[in-house]
Amino acid sequence: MEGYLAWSLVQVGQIVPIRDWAAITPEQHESLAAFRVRFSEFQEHLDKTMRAIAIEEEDPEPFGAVLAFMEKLGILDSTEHWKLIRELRNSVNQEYEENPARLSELFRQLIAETPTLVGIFERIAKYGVKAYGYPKTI
Amino acid sequence: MRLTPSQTQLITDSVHRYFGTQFKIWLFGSRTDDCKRGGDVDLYVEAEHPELLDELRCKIILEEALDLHVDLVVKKPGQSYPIHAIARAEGILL
Repeated sequence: MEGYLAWSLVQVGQIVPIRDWAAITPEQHESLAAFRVRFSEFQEHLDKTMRAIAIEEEDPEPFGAVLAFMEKLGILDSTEHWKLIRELRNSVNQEYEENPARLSELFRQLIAETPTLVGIFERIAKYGVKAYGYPKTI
Repeated sequence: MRLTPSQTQLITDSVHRYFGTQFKIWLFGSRTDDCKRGGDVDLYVEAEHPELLDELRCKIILEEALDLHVDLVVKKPGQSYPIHAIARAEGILL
Protein backbone atom coordinates (compact mmCIF):
# COMPACT_ATOMS: atom_id res chain seq x y z
CA MET A 1 0.00 0.00 0.00
CA GLU A 2 2.83 2.39 0.84
CA GLY A 3 4.41 1.61 -2.53
CA TYR A 4 1.17 2.29 -4.41
CA LEU A 5 0.77 5.61 -2.58
CA ALA A 6 4.37 6.56 -3.39
CA TRP A 7 3.70 5.75 -7.07
CA SER A 8 0.52 7.84 -7.09
CA LEU A 9 2.32 10.71 -5.37
CA VAL A 10 4.81 10.86 -8.24
CA GLN A 11 1.98 10.79 -10.79
CA VAL A 12 -0.06 13.60 -9.23
CA GLY A 13 3.09 15.63 -8.60
CA GLN A 14 3.17 16.13 -12.35
CA ILE A 15 -0.48 17.31 -12.44
CA VAL A 16 -0.92 19.48 -9.32
CA PRO A 17 -1.34 22.44 -8.98
CA ILE A 18 -4.33 22.29 -11.28
CA ARG A 19 -5.26 25.58 -12.87
CA ASP A 20 -7.65 24.31 -15.48
CA TRP A 21 -9.71 21.24 -14.67
CA ALA A 22 -11.09 21.21 -18.21
CA ALA A 23 -7.60 20.49 -19.52
CA ILE A 24 -7.13 17.42 -17.32
CA THR A 25 -7.04 14.25 -19.43
CA PRO A 26 -8.96 11.08 -18.51
CA GLU A 27 -5.63 9.45 -17.62
CA GLN A 28 -4.76 12.33 -15.28
CA HIS A 29 -8.22 12.10 -13.67
CA GLU A 30 -7.49 8.44 -13.10
CA SER A 31 -4.18 9.31 -11.41
CA LEU A 32 -5.92 11.88 -9.18
CA ALA A 33 -8.64 9.41 -8.26
CA ALA A 34 -6.09 6.70 -7.47
CA PHE A 35 -4.08 9.10 -5.30
CA ARG A 36 -7.19 10.26 -3.42
CA VAL A 37 -8.24 6.69 -2.70
CA ARG A 38 -4.73 5.51 -1.77
CA PHE A 39 -4.12 8.47 0.55
CA SER A 40 -7.51 7.88 2.20
CA GLU A 41 -7.01 4.15 2.61
CA PHE A 42 -3.50 4.62 3.95
CA GLN A 43 -4.70 7.18 6.49
CA GLU A 44 -7.57 4.89 7.49
CA HIS A 45 -5.24 1.92 7.96
CA LEU A 46 -2.96 4.00 10.15
CA ASP A 47 -6.01 5.11 12.19
CA LYS A 48 -6.97 1.46 12.72
CA THR A 49 -3.43 0.37 13.49
CA MET A 50 -3.02 3.10 16.09
CA ARG A 51 -6.33 2.08 17.66
CA ALA A 52 -5.20 -1.55 17.76
CA ILE A 53 -1.93 -0.62 19.44
CA ALA A 54 -3.72 1.60 21.96
CA ILE A 55 -6.28 -1.12 22.78
CA GLU A 56 -3.50 -3.65 23.19
CA GLU A 57 -1.61 -1.36 25.55
CA GLU A 58 -4.18 0.81 27.33
CA ASP A 59 -7.78 0.14 26.22
CA PRO A 60 -8.61 3.84 25.72
CA GLU A 61 -11.95 5.41 24.81
CA PRO A 62 -12.77 7.61 22.93
CA PHE A 63 -10.49 7.99 19.91
CA GLY A 64 -8.97 11.19 21.26
CA ALA A 65 -7.35 9.00 23.91
CA VAL A 66 -5.89 6.81 21.16
CA LEU A 67 -4.32 9.83 19.54
CA ALA A 68 -3.00 11.11 22.87
CA PHE A 69 -1.46 7.70 23.49
CA MET A 70 0.14 7.74 20.03
CA GLU A 71 1.61 11.13 20.84
CA LYS A 72 2.96 9.70 24.08
CA LEU A 73 4.57 6.81 22.17
CA GLY A 74 6.17 9.30 19.78
CA ILE A 75 4.25 7.92 16.79
CA LEU A 76 2.40 11.21 16.30
CA ASP A 77 4.11 14.55 16.66
CA SER A 78 0.76 16.20 17.28
CA THR A 79 -2.78 14.90 17.66
CA GLU A 80 -4.02 18.15 16.13
CA HIS A 81 -1.98 17.53 13.00
CA TRP A 82 -3.45 14.02 12.70
CA LYS A 83 -6.99 15.39 13.04
CA LEU A 84 -6.21 17.88 10.29
CA ILE A 85 -5.00 15.10 7.98
CA ARG A 86 -8.17 13.11 8.73
CA GLU A 87 -10.28 16.18 7.96
CA LEU A 88 -8.40 16.62 4.67
CA ARG A 89 -9.21 13.01 3.78
CA ASN A 90 -12.87 13.53 4.63
CA SER A 91 -13.06 16.75 2.64
CA VAL A 92 -11.47 15.43 -0.53
CA ASN A 93 -13.82 12.46 -0.50
CA GLN A 94 -16.96 14.51 0.17
CA GLU A 95 -16.40 17.25 -2.33
CA TYR A 96 -14.88 15.51 -5.27
CA GLU A 97 -15.35 17.59 -8.45
CA GLU A 98 -17.76 20.05 -6.80
CA ASN A 99 -15.55 23.11 -6.39
CA PRO A 100 -12.54 23.04 -8.74
CA ALA A 101 -10.40 25.63 -6.94
CA ARG A 102 -10.99 24.03 -3.56
CA LEU A 103 -10.39 20.56 -4.95
CA SER A 104 -7.09 21.68 -6.43
CA GLU A 105 -6.05 23.09 -3.05
CA LEU A 106 -7.12 19.88 -1.32
CA PHE A 107 -4.93 17.83 -3.66
CA ARG A 108 -2.03 20.20 -3.04
CA GLN A 109 -2.45 19.65 0.71
CA LEU A 110 -2.78 15.88 0.29
CA ILE A 111 0.52 15.84 -1.56
CA ALA A 112 2.12 17.96 1.15
CA GLU A 113 0.87 15.60 3.88
CA THR A 114 1.82 12.32 2.21
CA PRO A 115 5.38 12.33 3.63
CA THR A 116 3.82 12.83 7.09
CA LEU A 117 1.63 9.76 6.60
CA VAL A 118 4.58 7.69 5.45
CA GLY A 119 6.63 8.95 8.41
CA ILE A 120 3.88 7.90 10.84
CA PHE A 121 3.70 4.52 9.14
CA GLU A 122 7.46 4.09 9.59
CA ARG A 123 7.16 4.91 13.30
CA ILE A 124 4.23 2.51 13.76
CA ALA A 125 6.15 -0.21 11.93
CA LYS A 126 9.18 0.41 14.13
CA TYR A 127 7.01 0.26 17.24
CA GLY A 128 5.36 -2.95 15.99
CA VAL A 129 8.70 -4.63 15.48
CA LYS A 130 9.95 -3.47 18.87
CA ALA A 131 6.79 -4.23 20.87
CA TYR A 132 5.37 -7.28 19.11
CA GLY A 133 7.99 -8.48 16.64
CA TYR A 134 5.68 -7.70 13.69
CA PRO A 135 7.17 -7.50 10.21
CA LYS A 136 6.84 -4.14 8.43
CA THR A 137 3.90 -4.58 6.04
CA ILE A 138 0.75 -2.59 5.25
CA MET B 1 -33.22 28.15 15.64
CA ARG B 2 -31.93 25.25 17.66
CA LEU B 3 -28.66 26.63 19.02
CA THR B 4 -28.20 27.89 22.57
CA PRO B 5 -26.66 31.33 23.17
CA SER B 6 -23.49 29.67 24.45
CA GLN B 7 -23.26 27.47 21.34
CA THR B 8 -23.74 30.54 19.17
CA GLN B 9 -21.02 32.37 21.08
CA LEU B 10 -18.69 29.42 20.73
CA ILE B 11 -19.26 29.36 16.97
CA THR B 12 -18.64 33.09 16.67
CA ASP B 13 -15.46 32.90 18.77
CA SER B 14 -14.09 29.97 16.74
CA VAL B 15 -14.79 31.63 13.40
CA HIS B 16 -13.18 34.83 14.70
CA ARG B 17 -10.12 32.84 15.78
CA TYR B 18 -9.56 31.31 12.35
CA PHE B 19 -10.93 33.88 9.92
CA GLY B 20 -10.09 37.21 11.54
CA THR B 21 -12.43 40.07 12.31
CA GLN B 22 -14.26 40.47 9.00
CA PHE B 23 -16.78 37.66 8.73
CA LYS B 24 -20.45 36.80 8.71
CA ILE B 25 -21.95 33.49 9.82
CA TRP B 26 -25.29 31.99 8.87
CA LEU B 27 -26.85 28.91 10.40
CA PHE B 28 -28.77 27.01 7.75
CA GLY B 29 -30.25 23.56 7.31
CA SER B 30 -32.33 21.61 9.79
CA ARG B 31 -31.14 23.49 12.88
CA THR B 32 -33.00 26.60 11.76
CA ASP B 33 -36.24 24.66 12.22
CA ASP B 34 -37.50 24.62 15.82
CA CYS B 35 -39.86 21.77 15.03
CA LYS B 36 -37.13 19.33 14.08
CA ARG B 37 -34.83 17.38 16.37
CA GLY B 38 -31.13 16.55 16.23
CA GLY B 39 -29.22 17.03 12.99
CA ASP B 40 -25.90 18.49 11.91
CA VAL B 41 -24.92 22.08 12.48
CA ASP B 42 -24.76 23.60 9.00
CA LEU B 43 -22.79 26.82 8.97
CA TYR B 44 -22.09 29.18 6.10
CA VAL B 45 -19.28 31.69 6.54
CA GLU B 46 -18.23 34.62 4.41
CA ALA B 47 -14.74 35.83 5.27
CA GLU B 48 -12.09 38.09 3.77
CA HIS B 49 -9.16 35.69 3.38
CA PRO B 50 -10.23 32.17 4.32
CA GLU B 51 -7.52 29.54 4.04
CA LEU B 52 -8.33 25.87 3.52
CA LEU B 53 -6.37 24.62 6.52
CA ASP B 54 -7.91 27.23 8.82
CA GLU B 55 -11.33 26.14 7.61
CA LEU B 56 -10.54 22.50 8.45
CA ARG B 57 -9.10 23.47 11.84
CA CYS B 58 -12.20 25.53 12.60
CA LYS B 59 -14.44 22.60 11.74
CA ILE B 60 -12.42 20.25 14.00
CA ILE B 61 -12.57 22.71 16.92
CA LEU B 62 -16.32 23.28 16.49
CA GLU B 63 -17.15 19.58 16.30
CA GLU B 64 -15.13 18.89 19.43
CA ALA B 65 -16.57 21.82 21.36
CA LEU B 66 -20.19 21.31 20.29
CA ASP B 67 -19.96 17.52 20.27
CA LEU B 68 -22.01 17.62 17.07
CA HIS B 69 -21.29 17.03 13.43
CA VAL B 70 -20.60 20.37 11.73
CA ASP B 71 -20.83 21.13 8.03
CA LEU B 72 -18.86 24.28 7.42
CA VAL B 73 -19.24 26.02 4.07
CA VAL B 74 -16.82 28.91 3.61
CA LYS B 75 -17.15 31.35 0.75
CA LYS B 76 -14.03 32.93 -0.63
CA PRO B 77 -14.36 36.42 -2.15
CA GLY B 78 -15.21 36.09 -5.83
CA GLN B 79 -16.58 32.59 -5.54
CA SER B 80 -20.23 31.84 -6.06
CA TYR B 81 -21.88 28.47 -5.82
CA PRO B 82 -25.56 27.56 -5.44
CA ILE B 83 -24.99 26.40 -1.86
CA HIS B 84 -23.85 29.92 -0.96
CA ALA B 85 -27.07 31.48 -2.25
CA ILE B 86 -29.22 28.83 -0.56
CA ALA B 87 -27.45 29.27 2.79
CA ARG B 88 -27.84 33.07 2.64
CA ALA B 89 -31.46 32.92 1.55
CA GLU B 90 -32.63 30.26 3.98
CA GLY B 91 -30.15 30.74 6.81
CA ILE B 92 -30.21 32.77 9.99
CA LEU B 93 -27.45 35.34 10.45
CA LEU B 94 -25.70 34.69 13.75
